Parts: sequence; C-alpha cells; structure tokens
Amino acid sequence: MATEHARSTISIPQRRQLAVIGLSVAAVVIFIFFIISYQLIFIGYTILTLFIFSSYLVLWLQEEGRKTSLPSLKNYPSVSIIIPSFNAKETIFDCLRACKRMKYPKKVEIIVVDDGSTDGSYELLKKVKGIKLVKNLKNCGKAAALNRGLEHAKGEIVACIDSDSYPAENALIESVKHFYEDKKVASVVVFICANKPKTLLQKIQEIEYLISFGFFFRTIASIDGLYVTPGPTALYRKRILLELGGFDEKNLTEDMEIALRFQKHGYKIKVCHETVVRTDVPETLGKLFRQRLRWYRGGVMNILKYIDLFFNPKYGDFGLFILPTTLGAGFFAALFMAWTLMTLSRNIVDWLWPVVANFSAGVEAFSATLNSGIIVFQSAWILGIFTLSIWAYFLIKSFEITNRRLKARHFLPLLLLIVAYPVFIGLVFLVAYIYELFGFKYSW
Amino acid sequence: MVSPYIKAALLTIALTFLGFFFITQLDQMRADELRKNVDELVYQSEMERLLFLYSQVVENKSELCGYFSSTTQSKAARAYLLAEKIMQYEKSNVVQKDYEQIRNQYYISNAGLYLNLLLAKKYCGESPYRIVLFFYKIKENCPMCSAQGKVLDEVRKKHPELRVFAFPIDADVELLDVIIERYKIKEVPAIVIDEQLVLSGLQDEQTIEEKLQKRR
Repeated sequence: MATEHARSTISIPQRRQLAVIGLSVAAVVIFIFFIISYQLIFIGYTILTLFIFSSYLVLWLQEEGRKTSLPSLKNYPSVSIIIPSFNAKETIFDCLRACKRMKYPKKVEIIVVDDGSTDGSYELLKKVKGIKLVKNLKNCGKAAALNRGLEHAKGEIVACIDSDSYPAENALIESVKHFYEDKKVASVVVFICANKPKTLLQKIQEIEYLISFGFFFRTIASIDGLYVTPGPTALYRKRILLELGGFDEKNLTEDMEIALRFQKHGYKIKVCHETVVRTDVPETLGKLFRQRLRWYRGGVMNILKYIDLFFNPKYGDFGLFILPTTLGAGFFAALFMAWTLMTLSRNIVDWLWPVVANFSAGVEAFSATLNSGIIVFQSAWILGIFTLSIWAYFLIKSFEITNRRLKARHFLPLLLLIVAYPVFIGLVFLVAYIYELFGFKYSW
Repeated sequence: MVSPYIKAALLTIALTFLGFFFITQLDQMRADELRKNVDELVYQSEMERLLFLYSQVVENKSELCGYFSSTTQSKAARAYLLAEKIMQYEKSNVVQKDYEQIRNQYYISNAGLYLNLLLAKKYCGESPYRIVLFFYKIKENCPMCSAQGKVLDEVRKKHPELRVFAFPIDADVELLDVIIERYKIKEVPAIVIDEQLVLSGLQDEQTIEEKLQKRR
C-alpha cells in the first residue's frame, strides 16, 4: 500500500520521549499486574473488549437502516488527481489507466509527482499523454510530494491516489457526492480492498481490509469519528486542506495526521461504500512487517501529537470513544504481546527442561502429552466466545456492505486472521513501541 | 434517547453475567468430576478396610487375599494422572478455585490404599503385584514431575502388576510426611520400587523397566 519513499529521517522531540517514558512506566505497572494474576487481567480485558464491541454493535444498529447512496449532483465540482510516484515503474501505468477510465462529467486533471525516482520511471512517464508531470529532483517523501502536487492542482476537490492503487470507474462520481452531505466535510474516504490477493498473507489482509474499511469505517463514520484518510485513495476539499497547511512532511503516517488535524479543527470525514479502490498489499511477511511498523510508529507519533484530543469531552464521541478504542488499543496490543511472549517462553522452558535433563524421558513425556491431547479449556475463555461472536457479526455485515459473499475459500485466511494474525500485529506494535521508546530514527 | 454507550454497557453487563453463569457451571462440573473420582478411591479404601475386619472376624483370609490379587484392585492406582488433573483444573478455573478438600481427601485415600496393600502383602505372603511410589511437588512449578508422571503412566500401562501411588512432598499432610521420612525423599521427582530402590531425578521408560527387571 505504501509507496517506497525517500530516506529522510525523523527524530522525536524531547517532550514526546518523556511522554513515551511515562506510558512505559504505566506499561510496566500493568505488566507486573499480569504476572500476579493474569487470569484477572484476562477477564478485565475481555470485558473491556466486550464493551467496545457492544458499542460498535449498538452504533451499527442505529446506522444500519440509513440509506447511504446519495442522489446525483446538479453541478459536479472540478477534480484534480494527485499521484505521488517513487520508483513505481511496475504499478503506476495500471494506476493511470484506472484513473483515466474513471467516469466524471467534467474533465479531470491528473498530476503525477515524481519524487526523485531512480528506476527510469520519470522518462517513461514523460511519454504518457494527458497528465501533468511534476518532478522533484530529490526524494522528499510522500507528504512533500502530495504538497507539491497540491501547488499545481486547479480542482476544487483533490483526489490523492497511491501509485499502486486502482480506483473503480465510479470512484469519483460516487465519492464527490458525499462532500455535499455537510458543509464541514473536508474529506471523503472510499472502500479500499486488496488487489488480486495471491499469497495466503494477502488473502488474510483481504479480509482484514474488508472488516476495517467495511464495517468499522461505516460505523465510525456514522458518528464522524474517522481518524485516518487512507493513503491509497482519499479525496479532500482543497480549500480546507490548504487552510490547514497541507500535509505534514515530517510525519510517518501523514494520512492519519491530516485526519486528526481535520478532527481537531471540527471538520468532518465521510465514507463512500458505493465504490471501491483496489490496492496492492504486501505479499511477504517481511514487507508487511515494514509497512505495519511504519503505520504503528506513525500511530504512536500522532497519538502523542494529538494527545489533547484523547478523553477530551469537547470532541465528543471521537475524543471519548473512537480515539481511545482504536489508536489507544495498540498500546494494549503491545502489552498483550509482551505477556503472551512471556507466558509462551515459560511454557517452552517447561517443555524443554525435561528434554534437556533426560532426553529420552523428556521426549516420551512429550509424546504422551500429545497422545492424551489434554488442553484444559480455561473457564475465562467463555467470555471471549461472546466477543468473537460479535466480531463474527461484524464480519458478516462487512461482506454485506461491500456486496461480497463469504465463501469456502475465505475459511483458512479467516481462521489465521483470528488465531495467528493478532500475534503478528501485536508483535509489530511491541516493536514499534520499543523503537519509539528508544527514539530510533526512522528511515522510509 | 438513551446514549448508545449506556446501551452497550448494559449489553456488556448482561453478557458478562451470562458468561459467569456458564463459567460457574463449567467449574462446578469439573469439581463434580474430581469429587466423583476421589469418592471412588475413598469407597475402595474403606471397603478394603472392612475386608480386613471381616477376615479377622471369620478368621479366614482367602477371600481377602483373593481380592488383593485380582485385577479389579488395580483401578485404584491412578498414579499421577488424577493429581495432574486436579492441578490443571485449579489453574484453569475462575469461580471455584478451592479444591483443597478434594485434594486432601485424595491424598488420604491414596495413602490408605497404599497401606492396605502393604498390609495385605504382609498378611497373604506371596503377592502378584509390585508397588511403585512416585513423589512430586505441588506448590512450585515442577515440569520434571509432570514429565515423570507421564512416563510412569506409560510404564504402568505395559505392566498390569504394577501399583503406582503418587504422593506430593509438600502437601503438609502428616501421614504423607511419615512416608516421605521413611524413604528420605529430598529431591523430586523420585521413584521407589518395591519399597527399597529409590531413584531420584527424571527417569526414562527403559531405565525404569530395567530396574524393575533386575529386582524380579
């Protein structure tokens, strides 16, 4: 999803590091609590999750009946598309083709900002007709490239599209309507799905995208709580974007930063589910790890930047519920990961110790355990079953919202999404958190 | 209109109550299962005691010795498995965590069965069974004990003449302390074969079988 951008480095200001240290102290305290009675913490956490999910369920039920497709506009606004490109030889031409194929009553301006590519894509792009090509001599990062494009954009609305994302034909015509739901609408985001998932990992992400951009985006948008305008494709009202100073060029996740800035200034973000944008998702674990590490470090960075919005009644549902339960949840994910790793390593020591002490006896005991198949069901897991059931409902609704069908081929990725994926995500959160704690410099 | 979060909180409370209802049921079921197992041991130990009484009253020991050499008696030697089950359940339960009564009853009846068997040996002379004692601890995590228990159980399955009794060394039950004192057990896991041979540390199946063969 993320285009590989420049090697600009970002250091964290001192004040933020202090805040991170404060959070770490809290983490250690909770962690000690884990060691004392993990069962109690497990139950507490499960009940908290149950509450969060119940809230989404209730919010959804309020929203469900509402009609979402809007009537056609009398006058469509002028639109500029900005595509930042960095060494995107492989994907950008497909992206441009999809952009040109989009239906729109007015002529759409397409601006490609080449962010100092070194793969010869600039020369190839020069041959493409009907686009405005802007070149950065040096690689400055995606946010800077977007700002550069913004300078050239003539449209009332700008659509920022990643060079590895492919909007559907009706993407523009459907999504611009949502700007006229309310004068305060600064941005419209669309449903994003994984492009042609091939590997198992991509199929897992396909479902992950489906549930977060399907159910969760719809529900969160219904209370004007969106906290990110996803990089692959988001539309902005240019006037507001410029008024707030454009994208933050020093941010790891500028798409989250701008959304939080909109929220802070009382602007709204709407979601459009009547169309779809396909985006390439990482095919290997290593690439996914790097992508998520950037997202979650960006997440921590922006939490600290906008910490005053958290639990702030002035921001209503967004400050009191959405922020703590979405961005704040990462903190708990990291803690749970640390806890899981600890428990797991203790279990592994318990299994290995007999094997080290007396190899044949250890192996015999181990195979006896496997044969008897004793995994004692923890009573507390019963509460988790409720949480999982509500989540399953969200999943089904996500398929409904996006007009898809749950098929047998989804079974394995779904199982892995529930069982293994949270461990991976938790691990990335943990690493992101540790990196941020020690103030490691980030290179894109 | 009621706030959606209040509705959600009510739903959460309702589901939590429902959850705890099921948790209580599950915990109760487990306690009942353990109690049933232990009750069987208590019943058997009591019945054996009455058999001794009967043989003294009628001055005829053939029925008593017949009983002790039959295979039905071997049911008692559940060895370590029940002890492990009690520990596992205690770890995974939420509401009913107190199995102390069940545990103590298990120790006592287990020790009773062991003593009955020793007495029968004295009383009847030649006996077809062989006694193996296994010592473990419960208050600290002991992965070796758990491994040894499982290995011993595998050995027991292959040798129907074995009667395995498992005793914790840190349960603070006087009767058990006396037995531990007799064999001077300091380290666990430890195995005592035929009342005499003490093996400490984790042993594999082959070693145990060899020791059993040698003493025959």
